[in-house]
Amino acid sequence: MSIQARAGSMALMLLSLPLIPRPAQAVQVVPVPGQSRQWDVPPHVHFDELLHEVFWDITIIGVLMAMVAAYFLFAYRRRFPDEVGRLQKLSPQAALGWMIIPVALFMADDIYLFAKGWELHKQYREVPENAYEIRVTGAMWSWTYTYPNEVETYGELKVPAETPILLRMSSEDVVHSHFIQQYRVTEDLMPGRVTYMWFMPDKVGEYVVTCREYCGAGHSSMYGKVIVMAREEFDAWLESEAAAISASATVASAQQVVSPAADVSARDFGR
Amino acid sequence: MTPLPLFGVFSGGRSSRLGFGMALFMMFAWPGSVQANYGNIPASTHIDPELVRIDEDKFLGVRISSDYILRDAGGESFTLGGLLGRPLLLVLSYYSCDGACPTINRNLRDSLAGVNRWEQGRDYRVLTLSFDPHDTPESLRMFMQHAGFGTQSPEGWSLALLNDPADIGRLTESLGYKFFWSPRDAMFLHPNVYILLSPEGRVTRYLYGASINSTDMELSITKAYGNEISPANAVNFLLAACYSYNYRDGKYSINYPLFIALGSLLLGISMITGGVLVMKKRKRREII
Amino acid sequence: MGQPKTWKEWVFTLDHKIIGIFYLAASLVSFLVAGTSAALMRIELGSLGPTLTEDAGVYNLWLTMHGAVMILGFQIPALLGFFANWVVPIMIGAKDMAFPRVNALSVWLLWSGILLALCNLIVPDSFNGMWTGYPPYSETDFAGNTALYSLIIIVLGISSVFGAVNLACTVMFMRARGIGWYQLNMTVWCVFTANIMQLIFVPVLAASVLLLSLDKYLGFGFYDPGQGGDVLLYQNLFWFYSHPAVYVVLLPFLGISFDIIATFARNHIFNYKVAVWATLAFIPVSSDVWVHHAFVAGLPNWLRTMQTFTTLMISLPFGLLMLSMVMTLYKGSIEYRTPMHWIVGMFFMLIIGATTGIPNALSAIDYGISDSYVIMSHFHYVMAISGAMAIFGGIYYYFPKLTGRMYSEAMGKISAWLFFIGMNVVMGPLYFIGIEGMPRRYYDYQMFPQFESMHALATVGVAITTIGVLIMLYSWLHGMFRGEKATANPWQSQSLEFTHTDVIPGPGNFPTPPVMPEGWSPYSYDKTGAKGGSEARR
Repeated sequence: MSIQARAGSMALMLLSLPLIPRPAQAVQVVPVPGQSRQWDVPPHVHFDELLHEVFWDITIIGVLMAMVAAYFLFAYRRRFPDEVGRLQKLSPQAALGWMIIPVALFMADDIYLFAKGWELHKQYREVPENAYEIRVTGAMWSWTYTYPNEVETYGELKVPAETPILLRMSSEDVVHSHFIQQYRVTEDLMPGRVTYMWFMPDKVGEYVVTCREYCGAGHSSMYGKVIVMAREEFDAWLESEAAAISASATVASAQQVVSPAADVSARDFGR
Repeated sequence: MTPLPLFGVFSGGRSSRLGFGMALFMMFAWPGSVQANYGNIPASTHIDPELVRIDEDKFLGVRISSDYILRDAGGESFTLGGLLGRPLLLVLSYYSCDGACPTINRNLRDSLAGVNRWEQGRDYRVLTLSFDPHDTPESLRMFMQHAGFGTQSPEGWSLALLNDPADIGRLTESLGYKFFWSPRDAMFLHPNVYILLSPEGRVTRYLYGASINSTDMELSITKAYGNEISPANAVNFLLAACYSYNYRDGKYSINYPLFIALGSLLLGISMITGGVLVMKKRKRREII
Repeated sequence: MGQPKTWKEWVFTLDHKIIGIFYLAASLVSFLVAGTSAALMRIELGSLGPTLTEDAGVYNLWLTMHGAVMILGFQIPALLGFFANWVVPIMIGAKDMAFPRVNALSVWLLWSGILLALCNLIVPDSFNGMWTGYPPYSETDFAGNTALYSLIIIVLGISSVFGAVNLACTVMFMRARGIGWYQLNMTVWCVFTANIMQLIFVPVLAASVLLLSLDKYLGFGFYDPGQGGDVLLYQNLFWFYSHPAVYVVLLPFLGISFDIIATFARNHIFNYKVAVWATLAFIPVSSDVWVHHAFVAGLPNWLRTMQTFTTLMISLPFGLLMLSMVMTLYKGSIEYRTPMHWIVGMFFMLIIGATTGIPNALSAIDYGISDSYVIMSHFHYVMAISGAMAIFGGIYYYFPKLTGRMYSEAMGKISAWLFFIGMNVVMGPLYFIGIEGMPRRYYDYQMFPQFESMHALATVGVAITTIGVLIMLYSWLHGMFRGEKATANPWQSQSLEFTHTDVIPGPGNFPTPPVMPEGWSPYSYDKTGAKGGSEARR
């Protein structure tokens, strides 16, 4: 018997050997193109639905277990000093049954939750084709948002409503994590890698953005906001910002190298 | 900068700052302190090569639009999007060039010839594209002769022009690719860079041409597959996991901590084996 | 009774019981230090804006100390140090550990590690990179003394690896005659499994943490993308150890709870063999789930999906253990003494902790709650509070064997319920503001002023808990010196450490080497009835 058990435990140990750290982080991360599947609701609404469902699930499991335990704790109090427990020994068949049936039940619940979670996971990770792309740079301890026309904002992410927003993110120094409270979405930023997240700003308003990966003394002051504007308002704002930049940059651009500047003489940018 | 013979992967030299520790890592071939060579800036000019360096932080992960219309040497047009769906290696050149451009294309062909894991055309494609608005199908044919391609481009390799010269600015800007005409040298100054695009058309890596070898190419193509790599194709997965890109040297290097961690995993397991062996010996002695 | 007399005998002792007490002392000191820093943090967060300190760095130091010292200084030494050393050899009928000298080395390494950790409070550039020590932050000058952090982890790591080899060999080779693998206490099985896990995973942690210092001080660049390193690799290696570390804590305290429940319900463990194999199943199951700590760290999507599934699979062995635990009460004869009160509290805390783990396992849910108070609250329920309650219950359970005296039942029970209520008042409100978005590791929460009342409530909870802990400590001190004399088997347990030893087990543990009869089990209450106690030596 003990030899079998020993062999069994050794086999288990051996089985665990090939499960070495899966260093899949080495795989370059790039956004997956949106697939044809259209979702009825934006991810953060979907998130709330799923969370609600999962809470029901775990509440039922937890309350059932607690009630059974509470009943046993109450019903089987010791009645006289020499009383002993009368739990029957299980026959081998019963023991097997008491393993297989609970495992099957847990497994069923796991698979159900996994399927539900996978659906939402795919929605979070599959970026719609028409997403508006904004670059996010994290640094200790502020956020920089760069729009496609090189307009930059600090700590304030202004986005048009009703448009999926794709954030392409990296960090200048340490690991940060970009969390938008309203849109229930978090993704880390780090040097040397590009990560992404997307969200669907469905209502005009201002929402909190915070850092969610510990990054030093300023971690808790690394917050900002998402400002969702009506499409026209946003376009007007972006244009005026761009105009302001180009006005101030005209002087500099004489020396600045702008590509493709086909006929700039070498000495113009020599140092 | 003497290449270490143990692994063909590196052209890494030995850095002298870690005399003793080095001996430990000799077996892994410590990556050297080679600086990546960013562009074809002739030594005769006084231009800082950093000027054409691509701001990788800013442009990695950028998605290029797939609607560019290209024209090949025969004058036939096709879209850039048609080449995607698998990793695409993009080389920007200009066809009147008689210096670096034919060379980097030739070098690329040589180093791709050493890539055995992926088959050109089937698993990845190559695109050489001109950024000179004056280029024509004629100059492209001349260039192909010059670069040693003859009249027919290799399988899975397209050499082409942008149909609309106005697209040149749009494409190069979206890739962060800078180039200038230098009248003094009578040539374009530009980065010697191979741009790896993922199957979806996102930039996954900039590889600076001068010191790229077959292994770097193979790894960069593997990694351009990104999310599509899974443990199902274990060899690719492991290969991608064992190497990481080294921004300083512009090459791939071994992911040392992984191996150190693996070693320590074995250490833990060997300790338990050792303990068991000692106890067995002791028990036997007690019985005798 | 063979206790060491001179200080030399104490320091150079090779007796596993004395060494176990050293472990216990170390873990209690750590508990007080880490608990104090928790209380300071809660007071700081009790109201918006600076309360105790204006310097976020000071808060971060408390936070780092709380996490690192609670796990590495309190829980692991208490469970794998005290219970593994003091209890396990007696439970299997051994006269000592397999390698007593290695055992002494482990405990002194542990003490050095804890003293080094306390130094972190004194040194001017104390390390504030959290117990996780993620690069690149931990490699910057902002993080403070990374070398100290690496050193602490490595010293403690070596200590626990030595301890683990020792204990595994003890269980494998030192069992008394007549004790087979399926006649071991659940504590033995759980501690054994936890130690196998320590052996496999700790060296990985030690190596990856060592590389941090090599990076920072010698410029190697293992984790620096600029030099070909990878920032994320550290997170993978760290959690490759640190998720199993949760089970390294969880399993031993479940084992102790099993034994306490069996003793006080006078029942055998329900479906014992399945429970044993469920325990062992944690080794493979836990080795492939670490990515759920990094669901939002930019890892490939397929990996997140895969590890969502493997993480959910933890519920299978865990569910079987919980089922065995509940069913051990069935048709029992439950006596409510102080240890049982602690374990009942532990059980309900564990239910909350386990069920709140399920949403966290789903990568999709994690996008909304990652690194929020939800996570913090969950692991406090499942590991910190349940673990602490089981440890304190276990200390009460063995109190008569350690001191030869009884504690005060009233004080013990009051402390258990104050601790239970207090911790619920702390962690319950925090769970709900976590769902609303309150992030972890925040010195202040200016962006979420609406959470202030909940934070204040949690701070009240800490006060309740503190009173509970103080009563508990007082009951121990009181019992040690003033308690009534204990008998050798105060609970009429069937387990070897009660039936075959003196009131305080002396050197060699057993007056005569035990030889167990055919069919003996530490849980055979139904055969011999409660008479087992009367055979015990006085």
